[in-house]
Amino acid sequence: MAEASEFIELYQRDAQAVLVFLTRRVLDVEVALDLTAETFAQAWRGWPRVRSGNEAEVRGWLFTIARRQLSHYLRRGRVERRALLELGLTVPVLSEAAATEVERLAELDTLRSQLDRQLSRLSEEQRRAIQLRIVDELSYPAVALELGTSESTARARVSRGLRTLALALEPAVAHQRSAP
Amino acid sequence: MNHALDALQDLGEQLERLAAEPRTSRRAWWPWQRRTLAAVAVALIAASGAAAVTLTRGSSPPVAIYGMKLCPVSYPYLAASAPTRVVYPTDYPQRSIPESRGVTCFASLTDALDAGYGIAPAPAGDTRLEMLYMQPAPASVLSVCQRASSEIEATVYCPTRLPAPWVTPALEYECPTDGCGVALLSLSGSFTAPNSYVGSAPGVGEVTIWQATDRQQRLYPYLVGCLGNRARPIRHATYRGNPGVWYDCSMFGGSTSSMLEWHHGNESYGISADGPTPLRQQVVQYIAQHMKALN
Repeated sequence: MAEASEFIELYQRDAQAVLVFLTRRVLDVEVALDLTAETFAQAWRGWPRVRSGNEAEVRGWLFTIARRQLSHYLRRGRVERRALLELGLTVPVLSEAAATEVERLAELDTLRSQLDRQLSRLSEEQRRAIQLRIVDELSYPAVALELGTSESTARARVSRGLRTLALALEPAVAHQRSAP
Repeated sequence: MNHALDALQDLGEQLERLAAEPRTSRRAWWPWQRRTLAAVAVALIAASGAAAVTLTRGSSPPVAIYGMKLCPVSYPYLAASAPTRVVYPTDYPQRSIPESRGVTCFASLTDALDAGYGIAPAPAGDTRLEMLYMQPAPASVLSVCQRASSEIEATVYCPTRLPAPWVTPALEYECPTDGCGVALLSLSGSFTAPNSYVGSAPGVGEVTIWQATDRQQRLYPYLVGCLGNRARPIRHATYRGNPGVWYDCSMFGGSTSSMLEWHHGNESYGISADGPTPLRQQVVQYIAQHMKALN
C-alpha cells in the first residue's frame, strides 16, 4: 500500500494538471474545481489499494478517476460530491485571481473562440445558456435570471450543451491527452 | 504547484490534515446503511420483546443510540435465533426480513456461521451471488434504454437485473451530436455491498453497460470500453451468437474490473463490473444472461 505522504506528493505534483485538464473540457473553472476536489477525494479513498510506485501509472489512474467525474458531470448535469461529503472535505472558494490564472493555464480564450464558432450546432436554449455562462462568463444565478429558469436548469443546459459540443471540440483538446 | 492557485492550496491543506489522521477513524457509513440498519434493528428488537440476547464469540448485543437499537459498527451482521436460526448479510434486502426473535450482532459472517447460524435464503424473486443480491433493474433503466433505442439505429441491449441496492438515481445515454446521429449508450451505476466487496471502494461496486461504434470508442475512452484502463484479453466468448471477448481491465498490473465485449453489426457492446475475482465475472455473466434486446 502506498504511503499517505506519497498521496500528498501526488496532489502537489498533479492537482494543477487535473484542474487544467478538466477546465479545458468543461470550460468553467468553478465546475472544474468541484470536479478536481471530488477526483482527489475519490483518489484518497482508493489510495490504500495503490501498490505501484510507478509515477506514470499512478498518474494514469488519477486521470481515469478525473475522466469518470467528467463523464458523470456530462451525463447528469451536476457534480458528484459523494467522496467529498464522506470525507468531510469542502470545495475551496475560488478567488478571481486564481480563476484568471487557471483560465490562462488552460488557454480558455482560444477554446472560447473555437467554441463560439460551434454554437450554431446547438439548440436555441442550449446556445443561450452556453453563451451566457461560458462566453459571457456570467455566474450561474445570473444565467438562471437571464434564462428565466432555476439555477439547476441553467446548469443542466450548460452541461448538455457542452456534451453536444464535445465531439466538435475534441480535436482542439486532443493534445492535452499527452499530459496524463 | 503554482502557489497563486490558492484554491488548490486550500484543498491540499485539507487533504494533508486528512492524511495525518488514522484512516480507520474516517470510515463512514453511508446514510442508507445507517437508516437500513436502524430500521431493521428497531423492527427486530421490537419483535423480540423481552427475548434474551444471545452472546457468542465475535458477537455483541445491539446498542441503543438516540433511542434506537442498532448493531454496533464492528458487529454489522444481524442474526436471529427464531423462528429460524439465520444471519442476514449486511445488504440483505430489508423488505424481506421476517419478524424474528433473539437478536445478536456478529462481527463477521464467518463468526455467525461458526455459531451455528445459516445464511438467510434470498427473498423470493431475488438471486444471490455470494454476498450480492440481484434484483429486477429499476424502471428508470428500462426507460433510458427505450429512449436510446428510439434514437440509436442499432439493437440496444438493456439490463433487466442488476445488483441491489442499485444506488445510482439516474442513468443517461450519451448523444454527442445533433439528432443523436452517433448516439452511444453508456449506462453506469453503483451498487452497495458488504465491505469485503471491494470495487470502486470497499462496499461499493460499479457496473457499466455500453455500446458504441469503433470511432466513438476512440473519442470517448472514458465512457466506454475499459474506461481508460488497460484492457487485457482473457478468453474468447460467444454472446447470443455474436463473437465476443472477456477482458480484465487492469490498473497498476492488478485487475480491477472484468468486461465482456461483443460485436453485433457495426456496434460493439460491453458489460463491465469491478469487485473481487471471480465474483465480478459472475456479476457480468449474470447481467449478460438477463439482457433484453430492444430493436
